[in-house]
Amino acid sequence: MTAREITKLRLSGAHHARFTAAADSAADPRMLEFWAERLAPQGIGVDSDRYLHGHHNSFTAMSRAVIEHLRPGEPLDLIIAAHATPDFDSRMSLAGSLAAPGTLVFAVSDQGRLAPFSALRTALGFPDRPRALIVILDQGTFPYPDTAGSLLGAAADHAVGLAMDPGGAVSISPPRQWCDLPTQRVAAVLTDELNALAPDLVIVGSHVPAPAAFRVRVAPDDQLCTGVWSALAQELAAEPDRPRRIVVADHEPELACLGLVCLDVCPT
Amino acid sequence: MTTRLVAVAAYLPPNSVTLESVADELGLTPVDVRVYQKFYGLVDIRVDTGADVADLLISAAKGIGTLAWAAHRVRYVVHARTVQPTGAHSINPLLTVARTLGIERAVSFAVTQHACASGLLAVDLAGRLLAGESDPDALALVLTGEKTYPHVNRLMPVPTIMGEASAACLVGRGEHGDEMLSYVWRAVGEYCAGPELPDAVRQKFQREYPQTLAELMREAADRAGLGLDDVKMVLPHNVNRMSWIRVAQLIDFPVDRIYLDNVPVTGHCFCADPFVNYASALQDDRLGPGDPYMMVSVGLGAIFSAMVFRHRGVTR
Repeated sequence: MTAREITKLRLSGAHHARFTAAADSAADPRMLEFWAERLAPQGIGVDSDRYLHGHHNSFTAMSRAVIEHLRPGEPLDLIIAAHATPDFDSRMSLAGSLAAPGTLVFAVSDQGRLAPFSALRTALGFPDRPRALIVILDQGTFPYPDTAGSLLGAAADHAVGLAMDPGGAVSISPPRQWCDLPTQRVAAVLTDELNALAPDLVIVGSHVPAPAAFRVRVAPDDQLCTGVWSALAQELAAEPDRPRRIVVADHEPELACLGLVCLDVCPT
Repeated sequence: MTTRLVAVAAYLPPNSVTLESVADELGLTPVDVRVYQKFYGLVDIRVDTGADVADLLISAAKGIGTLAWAAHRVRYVVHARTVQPTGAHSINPLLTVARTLGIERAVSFAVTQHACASGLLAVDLAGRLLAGESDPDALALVLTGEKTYPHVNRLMPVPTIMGEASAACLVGRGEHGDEMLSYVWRAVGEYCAGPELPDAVRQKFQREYPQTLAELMREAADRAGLGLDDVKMVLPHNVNRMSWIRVAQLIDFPVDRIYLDNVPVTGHCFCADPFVNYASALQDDRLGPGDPYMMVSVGLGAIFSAMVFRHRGVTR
Protein backbone atom coordinates (compact mmCIF):
# COMPACT_ATOMS: atom_id res chain seq x y z
CA MET A 1 0.00 0.00 0.00
CA THR A 2 1.74 3.14 -1.17
CA ALA A 3 0.48 6.43 0.12
CA ARG A 4 -0.55 9.16 -2.27
CA GLU A 5 -2.02 12.57 -1.57
CA ILE A 6 -1.21 12.21 2.11
CA THR A 7 1.48 13.63 4.29
CA LYS A 8 3.03 12.01 7.31
CA LEU A 9 1.47 12.37 10.71
CA ARG A 10 3.62 14.01 13.34
CA LEU A 11 3.44 12.75 16.89
CA SER A 12 3.83 15.38 19.59
CA GLY A 13 3.10 13.26 22.65
CA ALA A 14 2.30 9.76 23.84
CA HIS A 15 0.93 8.68 27.19
CA HIS A 16 0.02 5.34 28.74
CA ALA A 17 -2.52 5.39 31.56
CA ARG A 18 -3.48 2.43 33.77
CA PHE A 19 -6.89 2.30 35.39
CA THR A 20 -7.85 0.15 38.34
CA ALA A 21 -11.43 -0.15 39.55
CA ALA A 22 -13.34 3.02 38.77
CA ALA A 23 -14.55 4.70 41.95
CA ASP A 24 -17.55 6.39 40.40
CA SER A 25 -18.82 3.90 37.88
CA ALA A 26 -20.72 0.72 38.62
CA ALA A 27 -22.23 -1.71 36.18
CA ASP A 28 -25.94 -1.42 35.58
CA PRO A 29 -27.41 -4.89 36.19
CA ARG A 30 -29.98 -4.13 33.47
CA MET A 31 -27.13 -4.40 30.99
CA LEU A 32 -26.95 -8.14 31.67
CA GLU A 33 -30.15 -8.48 29.65
CA PHE A 34 -28.52 -6.53 26.81
CA TRP A 35 -25.54 -8.85 26.85
CA ALA A 36 -27.65 -11.99 27.15
CA GLU A 37 -29.67 -11.13 24.05
CA ARG A 38 -26.60 -10.29 21.99
CA LEU A 39 -24.56 -13.31 23.06
CA ALA A 40 -27.28 -15.96 22.82
CA PRO A 41 -26.99 -16.45 19.04
CA GLN A 42 -23.28 -17.19 19.50
CA GLY A 43 -24.08 -19.78 22.14
CA ILE A 44 -22.20 -17.79 24.77
CA GLY A 45 -23.55 -17.49 28.27
CA VAL A 46 -23.39 -14.35 30.39
CA ASP A 47 -21.00 -14.37 33.35
CA SER A 48 -22.72 -11.85 35.59
CA ASP A 49 -20.07 -11.99 38.35
CA ARG A 50 -17.36 -11.12 35.90
CA TYR A 51 -19.38 -8.16 34.66
CA LEU A 52 -20.63 -6.81 37.95
CA HIS A 53 -17.22 -7.06 39.63
CA GLY A 54 -15.08 -5.68 36.80
CA HIS A 55 -13.21 -2.38 36.77
CA HIS A 56 -15.95 -0.47 34.91
CA ASN A 57 -13.67 2.04 33.26
CA SER A 58 -15.76 3.41 30.44
CA PHE A 59 -14.28 4.44 27.13
CA THR A 60 -15.42 7.97 27.89
CA ALA A 61 -13.68 8.11 31.28
CA MET A 62 -10.44 6.64 29.98
CA SER A 63 -10.44 8.90 26.93
CA ARG A 64 -11.04 11.97 29.05
CA ALA A 65 -8.11 11.06 31.31
CA VAL A 66 -5.79 10.71 28.33
CA ILE A 67 -7.02 13.96 26.79
CA GLU A 68 -6.52 15.74 30.09
CA HIS A 69 -2.93 14.50 30.24
CA LEU A 70 -1.94 15.21 26.64
CA ARG A 71 -4.13 18.13 25.61
CA PRO A 72 -5.50 19.86 28.73
CA GLY A 73 -7.90 22.56 27.70
CA GLU A 74 -6.72 22.57 24.10
CA PRO A 75 -9.03 22.24 21.11
CA LEU A 76 -8.83 19.06 19.07
CA ASP A 77 -9.87 18.60 15.47
CA LEU A 78 -10.12 14.82 15.56
CA ILE A 79 -10.35 12.04 18.14
CA ILE A 80 -10.26 8.42 16.99
CA ALA A 81 -10.74 5.68 19.55
CA ALA A 82 -9.34 2.24 18.72
CA HIS A 83 -10.39 -0.80 20.73
CA ALA A 84 -10.42 -4.59 20.64
CA THR A 85 -13.01 -5.27 23.35
CA PRO A 86 -16.34 -3.47 23.72
CA ASP A 87 -17.11 -0.69 26.17
CA PHE A 88 -18.59 -2.15 29.34
CA ASP A 89 -21.72 -0.05 28.81
CA SER A 90 -22.30 0.86 25.20
CA ARG A 91 -25.27 3.12 25.89
CA MET A 92 -23.03 6.14 26.41
CA SER A 93 -22.00 7.81 23.15
CA LEU A 94 -18.28 8.51 23.03
CA ALA A 95 -18.81 10.98 20.19
CA GLY A 96 -21.47 12.75 22.23
CA SER A 97 -19.62 12.73 25.51
CA LEU A 98 -16.42 14.13 23.96
CA ALA A 99 -18.31 16.51 21.68
CA ALA A 100 -16.82 19.96 21.27
CA PRO A 101 -17.34 22.47 18.49
CA GLY A 102 -15.46 21.29 15.43
CA THR A 103 -14.14 18.06 16.97
CA LEU A 104 -14.88 14.92 14.97
CA VAL A 105 -15.00 11.83 17.20
CA PHE A 106 -15.45 8.22 16.14
CA ALA A 107 -14.10 4.74 16.86
CA VAL A 108 -12.57 1.87 14.89
CA SER A 109 -12.77 -1.72 16.08
CA ASP A 110 -13.48 -5.31 15.04
CA GLN A 111 -9.86 -5.68 14.11
CA GLY A 112 -8.36 -6.93 17.37
CA ARG A 113 -4.85 -5.70 18.04
CA LEU A 114 -4.63 -3.97 14.67
CA ALA A 115 -7.36 -1.38 15.27
CA PRO A 116 -4.76 1.27 16.24
CA PHE A 117 -2.98 0.81 12.92
CA SER A 118 -6.23 1.50 11.07
CA ALA A 119 -6.90 4.47 13.36
CA LEU A 120 -3.52 5.94 12.42
CA ARG A 121 -4.12 5.23 8.75
CA THR A 122 -7.52 6.89 8.97
CA ALA A 123 -6.06 9.93 10.74
CA LEU A 124 -3.74 10.35 7.76
CA GLY A 125 -6.85 10.93 5.66
CA PHE A 126 -7.62 14.10 7.60
CA PRO A 127 -4.98 16.67 6.62
CA ASP A 128 -7.73 19.21 7.30
CA ARG A 129 -7.83 18.08 10.95
CA PRO A 130 -4.18 18.25 12.03
CA ARG A 131 -4.66 18.42 15.82
CA ALA A 132 -5.61 14.80 16.29
CA LEU A 133 -5.62 12.31 19.11
CA ILE A 134 -5.69 8.55 18.81
CA VAL A 135 -6.96 6.91 21.99
CA ILE A 136 -6.23 3.19 22.20
CA LEU A 137 -8.36 1.36 24.75
CA ASP A 138 -8.16 -2.00 26.49
CA GLN A 139 -10.92 -2.59 29.02
CA GLY A 140 -11.66 -6.01 30.43
CA THR A 141 -15.15 -5.73 31.89
CA PHE A 142 -17.16 -7.90 29.55
CA PRO A 143 -19.45 -10.67 30.74
CA TYR A 144 -18.24 -13.67 28.80
CA PRO A 145 -15.26 -15.98 28.67
CA ASP A 146 -13.01 -15.26 25.73
CA THR A 147 -9.69 -16.85 24.95
CA ALA A 148 -8.11 -13.74 23.51
CA GLY A 149 -9.94 -11.34 25.80
CA SER A 150 -8.76 -13.24 28.85
CA LEU A 151 -5.22 -12.23 27.95
CA LEU A 152 -6.11 -8.84 29.33
CA GLY A 153 -4.68 -8.69 32.81
CA ALA A 154 -7.13 -8.55 35.68
CA ALA A 155 -5.13 -5.87 37.47
CA ALA A 156 -5.99 -2.90 35.29
CA ASP A 157 -7.52 -1.44 32.17
CA HIS A 158 -5.28 0.54 29.84
CA ALA A 159 -5.44 3.54 27.55
CA VAL A 160 -2.71 4.96 25.35
CA GLY A 161 -3.00 8.39 23.79
CA LEU A 162 -1.07 9.41 20.68
CA ALA A 163 -1.27 13.15 20.13
CA MET A 164 -0.61 14.53 16.66
CA ASP A 165 0.08 18.02 15.49
CA PRO A 166 2.10 19.49 12.63
CA GLY A 167 4.92 20.53 14.96
CA GLY A 168 5.41 17.09 16.52
CA ALA A 169 8.96 15.78 16.79
CA VAL A 170 8.13 12.26 15.66
CA SER A 171 7.29 11.61 12.03
CA ILE A 172 4.95 8.66 11.43
CA SER A 173 4.98 6.96 8.05
CA PRO A 174 1.71 5.58 6.66
CA PRO A 175 0.96 2.34 8.53
CA ARG A 176 1.04 -0.84 6.51
CA GLN A 177 -1.11 -3.91 7.01
CA TRP A 178 -0.89 -7.37 5.51
CA CYS A 179 -4.13 -9.32 5.73
CA ASP A 180 -4.66 -13.00 4.97
CA LEU A 181 -1.06 -13.55 6.02
CA PRO A 182 -0.41 -17.07 7.30
CA THR A 183 1.24 -17.14 10.70
CA GLN A 184 4.24 -19.01 9.34
CA ARG A 185 4.96 -16.11 6.96
CA VAL A 186 4.85 -13.34 9.57
CA ALA A 187 8.53 -13.59 10.48
CA ALA A 188 9.68 -13.47 6.86
CA VAL A 189 7.50 -10.48 5.93
CA LEU A 190 8.55 -8.63 9.06
CA THR A 191 12.24 -9.32 8.47
CA ASP A 192 12.05 -8.10 4.88
CA GLU A 193 10.43 -4.87 6.01
CA LEU A 194 12.90 -4.33 8.82
CA ASN A 195 15.85 -4.92 6.52
CA ALA A 196 14.52 -2.17 4.28
CA LEU A 197 13.75 0.24 7.11
CA ALA A 198 16.87 -0.41 9.26
CA PRO A 199 15.32 0.73 12.54
CA ASP A 200 17.24 1.40 15.74
CA LEU A 201 14.50 -0.31 17.74
CA VAL A 202 11.65 -2.69 16.96
CA ILE A 203 8.65 -2.90 19.29
CA VAL A 204 6.65 -6.06 18.69
CA GLY A 205 3.57 -7.66 20.21
CA SER A 206 4.22 -10.47 22.64
CA HIS A 207 3.30 -13.19 20.16
CA VAL A 208 5.18 -11.77 17.17
CA PRO A 209 8.36 -13.72 16.43
CA ALA A 210 11.21 -11.51 17.64
CA PRO A 211 13.29 -10.55 14.61
CA ALA A 212 16.96 -11.41 14.78
CA ALA A 213 19.65 -8.80 14.10
CA PHE A 214 17.60 -5.92 15.51
CA ARG A 215 17.26 -4.40 18.94
CA VAL A 216 13.82 -5.59 20.04
CA ARG A 217 11.44 -4.60 22.80
CA VAL A 218 8.57 -7.02 23.35
CA ALA A 219 5.28 -5.49 24.48
CA PRO A 220 3.55 -6.62 27.68
CA ASP A 221 1.56 -9.81 27.23
CA ASP A 222 -1.38 -8.74 29.42
CA GLN A 223 -2.69 -6.08 27.03
CA LEU A 224 -4.45 -6.46 23.70
CA CYS A 225 -4.38 -3.47 21.39
CA THR A 226 -2.57 -1.10 23.78
CA GLY A 227 0.49 -3.34 24.27
CA VAL A 228 2.93 -2.13 21.63
CA TRP A 229 1.75 1.46 21.97
CA SER A 230 2.31 1.57 25.73
CA ALA A 231 5.83 0.29 25.07
CA LEU A 232 6.29 3.04 22.49
CA ALA A 233 5.10 5.68 24.97
CA GLN A 234 7.63 4.44 27.52
CA GLU A 235 10.45 4.45 24.97
CA LEU A 236 9.69 7.99 23.88
CA ALA A 237 9.41 9.17 27.48
CA ALA A 238 12.73 7.58 28.43
CA GLU A 239 14.73 9.25 25.68
CA PRO A 240 12.66 12.05 24.17
CA ASP A 241 15.56 13.84 22.52
CA ARG A 242 17.52 10.98 20.95
CA PRO A 243 17.04 10.89 17.17
CA ARG A 244 16.22 7.35 16.13
CA ARG A 245 13.99 5.20 14.00
CA ILE A 246 11.46 2.96 15.75
CA VAL A 247 9.28 0.36 14.07
CA VAL A 248 6.11 -0.81 15.83
CA ALA A 249 4.65 -4.12 14.65
CA ASP A 250 1.84 -6.31 15.90
CA HIS A 251 0.12 -9.42 14.65
CA GLU A 252 -3.49 -10.49 15.10
CA PRO A 253 -3.53 -14.25 14.80
CA GLU A 254 -7.34 -14.44 14.91
CA LEU A 255 -7.48 -12.38 11.71
CA ALA A 256 -4.18 -13.45 10.12
CA CYS A 257 -3.12 -9.81 9.80
CA LEU A 258 0.16 -8.01 10.49
CA GLY A 259 0.45 -4.27 11.09
CA LEU A 260 3.60 -2.16 10.95
CA VAL A 261 4.40 1.50 11.31
CA CYS A 262 7.71 3.34 11.18
CA LEU A 263 8.42 6.38 13.36
CA ASP A 264 11.37 8.75 13.04
CA VAL A 265 12.23 10.72 16.16
CA CYS A 266 13.66 14.02 14.95
CA PRO A 267 13.81 16.58 17.78
CA THR A 268 14.31 20.13 16.60
CA MET B 1 -10.82 13.63 -7.57
CA THR B 2 -13.76 13.29 -5.24
CA THR B 3 -15.42 10.49 -3.36
CA ARG B 4 -18.02 8.62 -5.37
CA LEU B 5 -20.63 5.98 -4.75
CA VAL B 6 -19.76 3.50 -7.48
CA ALA B 7 -22.34 0.82 -6.73
CA VAL B 8 -25.01 0.27 -4.10
CA ALA B 9 -27.03 -2.83 -3.29
CA ALA B 10 -29.60 -3.52 -0.62
CA TYR B 11 -30.77 -6.73 0.98
CA LEU B 12 -34.30 -6.90 2.31
CA PRO B 13 -34.83 -10.18 4.15
CA PRO B 14 -37.80 -11.99 2.61
CA ASN B 15 -39.66 -12.42 5.90
CA SER B 16 -41.95 -9.63 7.01
CA VAL B 17 -42.78 -9.41 10.69
CA THR B 18 -45.79 -7.38 11.76
CA LEU B 19 -45.64 -4.84 14.52
CA GLU B 20 -48.48 -6.65 16.29
CA SER B 21 -46.47 -9.84 16.47
CA VAL B 22 -43.60 -8.18 18.37
CA ALA B 23 -45.72 -5.78 20.41
CA ASP B 24 -45.43 -7.76 23.63
CA GLU B 25 -41.69 -8.09 23.25
CA LEU B 26 -41.42 -4.33 22.85
CA GLY B 27 -43.88 -3.49 25.58
CA LEU B 28 -46.39 -1.90 23.19
CA THR B 29 -50.07 -1.94 24.07
CA PRO B 30 -52.69 -2.48 21.35
CA VAL B 31 -53.30 1.29 21.41
CA ASP B 32 -49.56 1.92 21.00
CA VAL B 33 -49.53 -0.40 18.01
CA ARG B 34 -52.34 1.51 16.32
CA VAL B 35 -50.57 4.82 17.00
CA TYR B 36 -47.31 3.45 15.63
CA GLN B 37 -49.07 2.27 12.49
CA LYS B 38 -51.34 5.20 11.77
CA PHE B 39 -49.40 8.12 13.20
CA TYR B 40 -45.79 7.07 12.74
CA GLY B 41 -46.21 4.89 9.64
CA LEU B 42 -44.48 1.90 11.27
CA VAL B 43 -46.18 -1.31 10.14
CA ASP B 44 -43.81 -4.20 9.34
CA ILE B 45 -40.12 -4.94 9.64
CA ARG B 46 -37.93 -7.36 7.75
CA VAL B 47 -36.04 -9.96 9.78
CA ASP B 48 -33.78 -12.78 8.66
CA THR B 49 -34.20 -15.13 11.59
CA GLY B 50 -31.62 -17.66 10.49
CA ALA B 51 -28.97 -15.14 9.52
CA ASP B 52 -26.17 -13.70 11.59
CA VAL B 53 -24.73 -10.26 10.92
CA ALA B 54 -22.15 -11.63 8.50
CA ASP B 55 -24.94 -13.25 6.48
CA LEU B 56 -26.81 -9.94 6.28
CA LEU B 57 -23.73 -8.13 5.01
CA ILE B 58 -22.81 -10.86 2.54
CA SER B 59 -26.33 -10.91 1.13
CA ALA B 60 -26.15 -7.16 0.50
CA ALA B 61 -22.65 -7.27 -1.00
CA LYS B 62 -23.60 -10.08 -3.36
CA GLY B 63 -26.20 -7.73 -4.78
CA ILE B 64 -23.37 -5.69 -6.31
CA GLY B 65 -23.01 -7.55 -9.57
CA THR B 66 -19.65 -5.97 -10.33
CA LEU B 67 -18.04 -6.88 -7.01
CA ALA B 68 -16.73 -10.24 -8.16
CA TRP B 69 -14.60 -8.80 -10.94
CA ALA B 70 -13.66 -5.72 -8.91
CA ALA B 71 -12.71 -7.69 -5.79
CA HIS B 72 -8.97 -7.30 -6.38
CA ARG B 73 -9.40 -3.51 -6.28
CA VAL B 74 -11.04 -3.49 -2.85
CA ARG B 75 -8.51 -2.15 -0.32
CA TYR B 76 -10.82 -1.54 2.62
CA VAL B 77 -13.94 -3.11 4.04
CA VAL B 78 -15.67 -0.85 6.53
CA HIS B 79 -18.67 -1.99 8.55
CA ALA B 80 -20.54 1.05 9.80
CA ARG B 81 -22.36 0.08 12.98
CA THR B 82 -24.93 1.66 15.24
CA VAL B 83 -24.00 -0.60 18.17
CA GLN B 84 -20.35 -1.40 18.73
CA PRO B 85 -19.30 -5.01 18.15
CA THR B 86 -19.86 -7.34 21.07
CA GLY B 87 -19.05 -10.97 21.60
CA ALA B 88 -16.06 -13.20 21.57
CA HIS B 89 -12.84 -11.81 20.17
CA SER B 90 -12.49 -14.86 17.96
CA ILE B 91 -15.88 -14.35 16.30
CA ASN B 92 -15.27 -11.66 13.73
CA PRO B 93 -18.10 -11.16 11.23
CA LEU B 94 -15.96 -9.02 8.95
CA LEU B 95 -13.44 -11.80 8.53
CA THR B 96 -16.25 -14.12 7.44
CA VAL B 97 -17.55 -11.48 5.04
CA ALA B 98 -14.13 -10.81 3.52
CA ARG B 99 -13.33 -14.49 3.06
CA THR B 100 -16.71 -15.26 1.55
CA LEU B 101 -16.45 -12.39 -0.91
CA GLY B 102 -12.82 -13.12 -1.83
CA ILE B 103 -11.54 -9.81 -0.48
CA GLU B 104 -9.63 -11.16 2.50
CA ARG B 105 -6.54 -9.13 1.64
CA ALA B 106 -8.43 -5.89 2.19
CA VAL B 107 -8.06 -4.14 5.54
CA SER B 108 -11.36 -4.64 7.37
CA PHE B 109 -12.65 -2.82 10.41
CA ALA B 110 -15.80 -1.43 12.00
CA VAL B 111 -16.63 2.25 12.47
CA THR B 112 -18.86 3.25 15.35
CA GLN B 113 -19.88 6.02 17.75
CA HIS B 114 -22.00 7.99 15.29
CA ALA B 115 -24.71 5.40 15.97
CA CYS B 116 -27.13 5.23 13.04
CA ALA B 117 -25.24 8.08 11.35
CA SER B 118 -22.05 5.95 11.17
CA GLY B 119 -22.91 4.87 7.61
CA LEU B 120 -22.46 8.35 6.19
CA LEU B 121 -19.29 8.78 8.23
CA ALA B 122 -17.96 5.50 6.79
CA VAL B 123 -18.52 6.69 3.21
CA ASP B 124 -16.54 9.84 3.97
CA LEU B 125 -13.77 7.81 5.67
CA ALA B 126 -13.64 5.43 2.72
CA GLY B 127 -13.02 8.31 0.35
CA ARG B 128 -10.33 9.72 2.60
CA LEU B 129 -8.61 6.34 2.90
CA LEU B 130 -8.66 5.86 -0.87
CA ALA B 131 -7.15 9.31 -1.38
CA GLY B 132 -3.94 7.81 0.00
CA GLU B 133 -3.84 4.90 -2.44
CA SER B 134 -1.54 4.94 -5.44
CA ASP B 135 -4.10 3.07 -7.55
CA PRO B 136 -6.80 5.50 -8.73
CA ASP B 137 -9.10 2.54 -9.30
CA ALA B 138 -8.86 1.35 -5.69
CA LEU B 139 -12.20 0.77 -3.98
CA ALA B 140 -13.63 0.50 -0.49
CA LEU B 141 -16.64 -1.59 0.44
CA VAL B 142 -18.87 0.09 3.01
CA LEU B 143 -21.32 -2.27 4.68
CA THR B 144 -24.33 -1.43 6.83
CA GLY B 145 -26.86 -3.59 8.62
CA GLU B 146 -27.12 -5.28 12.01
CA LYS B 147 -29.12 -7.89 13.82
CA THR B 148 -31.92 -6.51 15.89
CA TYR B 149 -32.75 -7.54 19.42
CA PRO B 150 -35.62 -6.65 21.74
CA HIS B 151 -33.35 -4.45 23.86
CA VAL B 152 -32.51 -2.25 20.86
CA ASN B 153 -36.15 -1.30 20.44
CA ARG B 154 -36.64 -0.92 24.17
CA LEU B 155 -33.67 1.47 24.39
CA MET B 156 -34.73 3.76 21.55
CA PRO B 157 -35.95 7.06 22.98
CA VAL B 158 -38.13 7.86 19.97
CA PRO B 159 -40.99 5.94 18.38
CA THR B 160 -39.43 3.54 15.93
CA ILE B 161 -38.88 -0.15 15.36
CA MET B 162 -35.65 -1.73 14.21
CA GLY B 163 -35.29 -4.15 11.30
CA GLU B 164 -32.56 -6.14 9.59
CA ALA B 165 -32.29 -4.83 6.03
CA SER B 166 -28.67 -4.28 5.01
CA ALA B 167 -26.76 -2.46 2.29
CA ALA B 168 -23.39 -2.53 0.58
CA CYS B 169 -21.70 0.36 -1.21
CA LEU B 170 -18.61 0.38 -3.34
CA VAL B 171 -16.86 3.68 -2.84
CA GLY B 172 -14.21 4.95 -5.22
CA ARG B 173 -12.41 8.08 -6.35
CA GLY B 174 -12.34 7.40 -10.06
CA GLU B 175 -14.52 8.78 -12.79
CA HIS B 176 -17.60 6.63 -12.30
CA GLY B 177 -20.41 6.88 -9.83
CA ASP B 178 -22.29 9.48 -7.85
CA GLU B 179 -20.11 12.40 -6.78
CA MET B 180 -20.16 13.41 -3.13
CA LEU B 181 -20.78 17.16 -2.97
CA SER B 182 -20.89 17.72 0.77
CA TYR B 183 -20.90 15.99 4.14
CA VAL B 184 -21.88 17.77 7.31
CA TRP B 185 -22.43 16.48 10.83
CA ARG B 186 -23.17 17.88 14.21
CA ALA B 187 -22.57 16.20 17.57
CA VAL B 188 -24.80 17.46 20.36
CA GLY B 189 -23.09 16.36 23.55
CA GLU B 190 -26.00 17.21 25.80
CA TYR B 191 -27.66 14.00 24.58
CA CYS B 192 -24.66 11.67 24.95
CA ALA B 193 -26.48 9.41 27.42
CA GLY B 194 -28.65 8.25 24.51
CA PRO B 195 -31.24 5.82 25.78
CA GLU B 196 -30.60 6.81 29.39
CA LEU B 197 -31.51 10.47 29.02
CA PRO B 198 -33.55 11.85 31.90
CA ASP B 199 -37.14 12.53 30.86
CA ALA B 200 -36.74 16.31 30.74
CA VAL B 201 -33.63 16.05 28.55
CA ARG B 202 -35.29 13.46 26.33
CA GLN B 203 -38.24 15.77 25.79
CA LYS B 204 -35.86 18.61 24.97
CA PHE B 205 -34.13 16.37 22.44
CA GLN B 206 -37.44 15.51 20.82
CA ARG B 207 -38.39 19.20 20.69
CA GLU B 208 -35.07 20.30 19.19
CA TYR B 209 -34.61 17.36 16.85
CA PRO B 210 -36.59 18.68 13.83
CA GLN B 211 -35.05 22.16 13.99
CA THR B 212 -31.49 20.83 14.38
CA LEU B 213 -31.98 18.45 11.48
CA ALA B 214 -33.54 21.17 9.33
CA GLU B 215 -30.58 23.48 9.95
CA LEU B 216 -28.13 20.70 9.13
CA MET B 217 -29.91 19.86 5.87
CA ARG B 218 -29.81 23.49 4.80
CA GLU B 219 -26.09 23.57 5.60
CA ALA B 220 -25.46 20.38 3.61
CA ALA B 221 -27.23 21.81 0.58
CA ASP B 222 -25.41 25.11 0.95
CA ARG B 223 -22.00 23.44 1.15
CA ALA B 224 -22.87 21.48 -1.97
CA GLY B 225 -23.50 24.78 -3.74
CA LEU B 226 -27.22 24.09 -3.90
CA GLY B 227 -30.45 25.24 -2.40
CA LEU B 228 -32.78 22.72 -0.81
CA ASP B 229 -35.10 23.29 -3.78
CA ASP B 230 -32.40 21.81 -6.00
CA VAL B 231 -32.34 18.53 -4.05
CA LYS B 232 -34.38 16.01 -6.02
CA MET B 233 -34.71 13.41 -3.27
CA VAL B 234 -33.97 13.09 0.40
CA LEU B 235 -32.99 9.53 1.34
CA PRO B 236 -33.62 9.46 5.08
CA HIS B 237 -33.15 7.17 8.02
CA ASN B 238 -36.49 5.47 8.59
CA VAL B 239 -37.06 6.49 12.18
CA ASN B 240 -40.75 7.16 11.52
CA ARG B 241 -42.90 9.06 9.03
CA MET B 242 -44.20 11.74 11.37
CA SER B 243 -40.78 13.11 12.33
CA TRP B 244 -39.99 13.58 8.64
CA ILE B 245 -43.24 15.41 8.01
CA ARG B 246 -42.26 17.87 10.73
CA VAL B 247 -38.82 18.36 9.21
CA ALA B 248 -40.34 18.79 5.74
CA GLN B 249 -42.60 21.52 7.08
CA LEU B 250 -39.67 23.32 8.67
CA ILE B 251 -37.61 23.34 5.49
CA ASP B 252 -40.63 23.82 3.21
CA PHE B 253 -39.73 20.67 1.31
CA PRO B 254 -42.31 18.45 -0.42
CA VAL B 255 -42.86 15.28 1.62
CA ASP B 256 -43.15 13.27 -1.58
CA ARG B 257 -39.49 14.05 -2.28
CA ILE B 258 -38.49 12.38 0.97
CA TYR B 259 -38.27 8.66 0.29
CA LEU B 260 -40.53 7.23 3.00
CA ASP B 261 -41.86 4.21 1.10
CA ASN B 262 -39.71 1.81 3.13
CA VAL B 263 -40.75 3.04 6.58
CA PRO B 264 -43.78 0.69 6.75
CA VAL B 265 -41.86 -2.12 5.02
CA THR B 266 -38.46 -2.36 6.68
CA GLY B 267 -38.66 -0.19 9.78
CA HIS B 268 -35.47 1.55 10.86
CA CYS B 269 -32.46 -0.58 9.88
CA PHE B 270 -29.58 0.89 11.86
CA CYS B 271 -27.07 2.58 9.48
CA ALA B 272 -28.52 0.99 6.33
CA ASP B 273 -31.62 3.13 5.72
CA PRO B 274 -30.27 5.84 3.40
CA PHE B 275 -28.54 3.23 1.23
CA VAL B 276 -31.53 0.89 1.16
CA ASN B 277 -33.68 3.87 0.23
CA TYR B 278 -31.22 4.81 -2.49
CA ALA B 279 -31.53 1.36 -4.04
CA SER B 280 -35.33 1.56 -3.82
CA ALA B 281 -35.44 5.08 -5.28
CA LEU B 282 -33.39 3.92 -8.25
CA GLN B 283 -35.68 0.95 -8.77
CA ASP B 284 -38.65 3.32 -8.69
CA ASP B 285 -36.98 5.69 -11.18
CA ARG B 286 -37.09 8.48 -8.63
CA LEU B 287 -33.54 9.61 -9.42
CA GLY B 288 -32.29 10.61 -12.84
CA PRO B 289 -28.86 11.43 -14.25
CA GLY B 290 -27.53 14.67 -12.78
CA ASP B 291 -30.08 14.79 -9.95
CA PRO B 292 -28.69 15.99 -6.63
CA TYR B 293 -29.91 14.01 -3.65
CA MET B 294 -29.28 14.07 0.08
CA MET B 295 -28.77 11.15 2.44
CA VAL B 296 -29.68 12.00 6.03
CA SER B 297 -29.32 10.13 9.28
CA VAL B 298 -29.39 10.83 12.99
CA GLY B 299 -27.59 8.72 15.56
CA LEU B 300 -28.43 8.36 19.20
CA GLY B 301 -25.98 10.22 21.34
CA ALA B 302 -26.64 12.55 19.36
CA ILE B 303 -25.09 12.86 15.90
CA PHE B 304 -26.94 14.56 13.07
CA SER B 305 -25.49 14.09 9.58
CA ALA B 306 -26.29 14.77 5.95
CA MET B 307 -24.43 14.00 2.74
CA VAL B 308 -25.23 15.39 -0.71
CA PHE B 309 -24.44 13.55 -3.95
CA ARG B 310 -25.04 14.15 -7.61
CA HIS B 311 -26.42 11.08 -9.35
CA ARG B 312 -24.36 10.05 -12.36
CA GLY B 313 -25.80 6.59 -12.76
CA VAL B 314 -24.31 3.71 -10.85
CA THR B 315 -23.55 0.12 -11.68
CA ARG B 316 -26.14 -2.23 -10.30
